[in-house]
Amino acid sequence: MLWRLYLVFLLLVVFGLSIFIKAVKVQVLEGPKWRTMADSLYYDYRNVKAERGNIYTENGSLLATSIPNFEIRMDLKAPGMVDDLFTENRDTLALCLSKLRTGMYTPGGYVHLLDENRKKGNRYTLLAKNVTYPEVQEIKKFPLFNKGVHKGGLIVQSTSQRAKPFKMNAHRTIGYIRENAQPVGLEGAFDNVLAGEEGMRLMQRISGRTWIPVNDLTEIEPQNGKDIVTTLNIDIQNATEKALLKAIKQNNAKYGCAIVMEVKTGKIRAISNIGKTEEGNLWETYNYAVGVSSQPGSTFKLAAVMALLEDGYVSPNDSIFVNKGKADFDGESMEDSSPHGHEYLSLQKAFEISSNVAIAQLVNKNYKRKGGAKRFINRLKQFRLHQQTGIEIKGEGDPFIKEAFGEKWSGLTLPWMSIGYELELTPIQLLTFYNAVANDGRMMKPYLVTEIQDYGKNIEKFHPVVLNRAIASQGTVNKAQQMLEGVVENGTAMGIKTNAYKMAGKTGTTVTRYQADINGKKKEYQASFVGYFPADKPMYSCIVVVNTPSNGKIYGSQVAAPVFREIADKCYIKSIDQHKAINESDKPKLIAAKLPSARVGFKKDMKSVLDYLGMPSKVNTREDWTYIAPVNDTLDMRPRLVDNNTVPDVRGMGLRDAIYLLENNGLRVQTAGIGKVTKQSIKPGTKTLGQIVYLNLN
Amino acid sequence: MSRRASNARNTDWLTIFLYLGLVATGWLMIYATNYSPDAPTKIYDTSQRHGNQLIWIGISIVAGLFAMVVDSKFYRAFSFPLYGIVMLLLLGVLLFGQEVAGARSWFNIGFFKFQPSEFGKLAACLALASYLSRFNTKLDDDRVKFVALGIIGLPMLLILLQPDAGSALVYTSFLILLFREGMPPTIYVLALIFAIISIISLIFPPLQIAAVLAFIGVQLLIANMNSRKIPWLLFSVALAVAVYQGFQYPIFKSVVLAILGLVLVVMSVHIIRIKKAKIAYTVLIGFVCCMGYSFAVSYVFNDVFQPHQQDRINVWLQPSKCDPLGSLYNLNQSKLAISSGGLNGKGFLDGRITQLNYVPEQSTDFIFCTVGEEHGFLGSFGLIILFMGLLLRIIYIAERQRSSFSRMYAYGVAGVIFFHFFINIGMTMGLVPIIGIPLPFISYGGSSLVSFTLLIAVLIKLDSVRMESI
Repeated sequence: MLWRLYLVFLLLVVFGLSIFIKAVKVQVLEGPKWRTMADSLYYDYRNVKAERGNIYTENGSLLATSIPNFEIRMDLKAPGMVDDLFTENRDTLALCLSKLRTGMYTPGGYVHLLDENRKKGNRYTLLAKNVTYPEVQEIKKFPLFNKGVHKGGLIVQSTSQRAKPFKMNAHRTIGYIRENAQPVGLEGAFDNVLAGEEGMRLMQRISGRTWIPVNDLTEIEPQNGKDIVTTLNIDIQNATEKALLKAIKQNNAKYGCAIVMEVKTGKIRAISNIGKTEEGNLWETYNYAVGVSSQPGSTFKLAAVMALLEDGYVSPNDSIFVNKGKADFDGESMEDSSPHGHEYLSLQKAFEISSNVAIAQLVNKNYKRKGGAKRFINRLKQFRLHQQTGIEIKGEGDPFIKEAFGEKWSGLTLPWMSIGYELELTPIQLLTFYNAVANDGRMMKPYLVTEIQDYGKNIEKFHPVVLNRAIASQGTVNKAQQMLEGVVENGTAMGIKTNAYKMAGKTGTTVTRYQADINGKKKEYQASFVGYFPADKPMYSCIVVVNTPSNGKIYGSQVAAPVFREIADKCYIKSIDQHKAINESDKPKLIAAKLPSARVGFKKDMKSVLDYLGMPSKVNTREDWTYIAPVNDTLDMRPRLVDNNTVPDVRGMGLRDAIYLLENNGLRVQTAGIGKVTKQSIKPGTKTLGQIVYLNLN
Repeated sequence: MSRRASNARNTDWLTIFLYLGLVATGWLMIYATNYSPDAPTKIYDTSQRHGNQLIWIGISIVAGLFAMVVDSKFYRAFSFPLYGIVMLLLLGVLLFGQEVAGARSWFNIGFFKFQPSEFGKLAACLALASYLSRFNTKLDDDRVKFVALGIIGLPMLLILLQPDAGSALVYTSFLILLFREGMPPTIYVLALIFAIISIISLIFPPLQIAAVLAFIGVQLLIANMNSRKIPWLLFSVALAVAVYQGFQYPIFKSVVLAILGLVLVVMSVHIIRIKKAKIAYTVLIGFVCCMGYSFAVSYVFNDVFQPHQQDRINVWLQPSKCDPLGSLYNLNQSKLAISSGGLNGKGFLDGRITQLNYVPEQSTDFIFCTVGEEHGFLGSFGLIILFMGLLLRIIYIAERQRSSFSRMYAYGVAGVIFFHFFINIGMTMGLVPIIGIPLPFISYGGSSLVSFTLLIAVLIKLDSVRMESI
C-alpha cells in the first residue's frame, strides 16, 4: 500500500510544482509581454478635447460660447450588476429614461434596448444625448444608477455644443467651425486661439473603439482655448440688425448688409448680413458685407470728385453744364436718374442731387487726354480703393479697378467708372474709404478683434492700424466732407435729415439688371447709402446695402438711407459723449416759477428733505408747521398756524401729516385718492366737534 | 497526565498556525482588494467586505473550537445522520433556495445567506471515511466501490442540479482518498486516457485524431508482428508522412484516411492470422472506442454546450482563437494583474488593477490576482508554500493515524483543499479552465470559510486523540 502513498505524495508535489512553474511563467517569463499587452490593448493615452474659448462683444457680452452637454451611456456588463438587481430595476429605469427631456424611446423601447444590449454584453449603450448638467444630477438618482458605478454602470460623457446667445446677430461674422466645411468668420480666423490644445489622458478600451477614462487624473491637462474680445457693440449691432431686417422685409429685398465702423479707430461696431434661406426665411446666410464685390454706383462719385479736386480741376462752386441731365459718350447716352431742367449746376449741387452727367462729363473731360486715365486710376489707388482692407475674417472680396487702357478698357470706361460702374468694391472697402474722409483723410483698417484673453487676463491686444495717413490733401477732404453734408442737408438724402445732429453721406442706386426681359423679369437695382455722423464731429461711419428691393421703392435714398438714419439715431442716443452734460453749461438759475411751492408740512421733515436734495432754504418761523415759498433762488419756510380748537388747514399736506393734525384735534378722517390733500370737506377755522372730515387727495 | 492535557499536547499546532496564517492573509487581501485610495475605509468597517470577513473569521473560530470540544467519537458515529441532513439541505435548496445568477445555491435566512454545498464536502468526507473504515469493507469489492462512489455521487448530482458545476467537480477530489485506500489503478489510467482524449478532441478536428490513433494502432500491431518489422515500420512512417502531407490539401484528407484505415485492417487480419487475434481485437476495439468517444466529446462540445461554456474551454485550451476583448478578457485581466506585480509586487494597498475592479469576482474567485499584483512573485510563491505546507502536513497527519477512519478523513480533507487550491490558482493563470470555486481560507465568503475551518478543526480533533484506544 505504501506505493499509493508515494504516488499521492508525488501527485501533490507535481501539481504544486506546476502551479509554481506557471506562476514563474506568468509573472517572470511572460511578465513583460503581459505588461506590453496591457499598454497596447487595454490602455492608451488618448487625446482630451480642450474647451473652446468664448467670443465676447466689446463690453463683455457673450457672442459665442461652448455649453457643456452630456451623453448618457450605460455599461450593461458592470461587474456588480447581477441579474436580480437588473431585472428589479429595469422597468422603472426605462420609465425614468423615457421621461427625460431628450429621451429617445418609449418606456417599452428602453426596456427592449436594455434587454438587448445586456444580452449582447454592450458595455457602452447610448441612452440619451444632449443632456444638461442638472439633468445629469437627476439621472444619477435613477433606479439602478443610484447603486453606484459598479452596480449601476452609469457612464456620463461630456460633450459640448457651440451656442450664440444673440442668435442671428452677426452670426456670419462670428462664424463657425464644422467638419467637412470651410471655417467661417471669427471662429475660423481665430480657430488656433479659440481651440486651445488637446490634452492626454490614460484611457481604457472597453469595446471596439470605445475608450473610457481610467481615473480622474489627466496626464497632460488640455489647454483650454483663449477668449477673444471683439469690437462689436451689442446695442449697435442689435439696432443695425433690426433696422436692416425691417428694410429687407418692407422692400422684399433679396439680401442686404450694413456695417457700422468707429471713425477714429476702424473698429467694426456692428455688421449685419441678412439674406433668404432656401426655405425662404431671413437669416445670416452669407457675409455680403465682406465677401461680395459689386458695382457701387453713385456712392463712388465721392472718389471721382475727390480725384478732380485733388488734381485741382474743379472746385465745389464751379458751374458745370449739365444739359438738363443728358449727355452722350462715344454714342452711348447717359442720363441723370431723376429728371431736372437745369442747364448749369454747381459741382456741390450736382453732387448733392447725384447728377451722373455732371460728374461723368467732368471726369471724361479732364482725364480723357493721354496719360489722364492713368492719373485718374492712380488717384483711386491713392484712395486705396484697389486693395483689400485686410479685415481678420477670411473670404474678403477683391476690389476690381481697371488699369488705364488695360484689359476691357473702352471709351465708355472713364465716364462710367466715375459714376460707380465698370468697377467693383465690397461694402467694407467702400465704407473704409468713406471712413477715411470722415476721419479727415486718415484711413483706418477695419478690424473686429481687440483682444485675446485667458480667463479675463490679457494675452494680446490689437490696436487700430492706419492704412494711409492721408488719402488726400486736407483741402480736398474738407471739400468732400462739405459735399457729403450737402447731400443730407439739401440733396438726395434730405429725407433723413434731423435737427438733433448732422449727418453726411451719399446715396447710391446701382442698376444690376438693365432690361426687363421677356420672362417678365424686371429691371433690378441695388440701393445703398454710405456716410457718417455726426457730421461736425464724426463718430461712426456706416454703409447700408439692400440688393434687389422689389416693392416699388428702388433708390438708395428711399431704401437704404432710412436704415442709416435708424442706426444713426440709436448710436447717437447711446453715445453719452455726444450729448452735453447737464453741468457742462453754466449753473442754471433756480427760477421761482420752477421751484416747488405750496408744499405744506412738518418743519423738521421739510428741512431735512430740502437739505438732502441740496435745495437752498431758509427757515423763517418757530412754528412746527410750515409751507414753502420760493423767493429768488431760495425757498422760504413760512409758518402755517395751527389752532388746537379749530379745524386746521391741511391742504397741500401729505396724508400722514394731515391725519396727525386732524385726529389730534379730535376729528375723524376719511380719504379718497392718492397724493397731496387738495380739498377738505370742513373749512379751516371751523370749531372742532368730532366731525368727520373728508379729504380729497390728488 | 489528564486526558485534557494529553489532548492539548497532541494537538497539531503547526496546522493551526498554518490555518491562522492563511485566514489572516485572506482577510488582508480582501481589504486590499476593496480598498479605494480615494475613499479609504477601516479594515474593521463591517459595512465593507473586509469587515464582514472579520465577523466570519470570528464565527469560524468559534465553530472550530466547538468542533474540537465535541467528543471525537461523535464524528464517526453521527457521520451518516450528518450526511443525511446535508443531503436534505441540498435537496431543499433546489426547492426553496434563492436564485442568484441563474443558480439555486443559497439559502437566504434574512440576516445571512449560506451555501449548503460547502458543508456537503465535510459531510461526504465523514460519511466516506466512516463507510470505508467499517469492518470488512474493502474497495476490492465491487459493491463497496459502488457505494463509495455513490456517497460521492449523490451530493455531486444535487449540486449539478443547482446548477453549480464548479462546486460539484470538487467532489472528484475524493478520488484521491479512494486511490489511497485501494481503488484499482486501472480505473484511474482509463480515466486519464479518456481525459487526454477529451482534451485532444477539443483542440484538434476528429479526422486528425483518427489519423493519429490509427497510426498508434498500426505501431502497436507492428510491435506484435513476428517478422519483417523494419520494412513495416518504414512503410508506416512513410505513410504517416504521406498522411501529414495529405492533410495540407483538404481534398486528399478522406483519401489518405481511407488508406490508413485500410492498412490498419489489413494488418489486423495479418495479426489474426499469426494467432494473435486478442491483440488485434483489442487494438481495433480500442481504436473504435477512442474514436467514438472523441466524436462524442466533439459533438457534446459543439452541439450541447452553451456558448459561454464553450468559451470557457476555448479560453483554456485555445486562447489564441479567443476574442481578447470578449471571452478572453477576464483571463487576460487576471494574468495582467498577476504579472503586473513583477518580482516584489506593487505593495500592500497599491494594486490599482485589482482595486479598480478590472478583474471579475475580485474578492472571491480571483483573489489570487491581488496577491500577485500587490506582492509579486515572492508573495505568490509564499502563498503557494503556505498551501503546500498545509497539504503535506495533512498527509503527514493522515499517515500517523492508527484509526483508519481518521486517516481516510484526513485524506479527504487534503483532497478537497488541494483541489480548491490547484483549480483556483491555476484558473487565474490559465493553467486550468475557469471554474468558479473559492480559494480556501483566502476568498471572501462565510459558508466557505466556516466549512473549511470545520474540515480542519475536525481533523485536528481526530488527530489529537490518535493516542487513545482504537
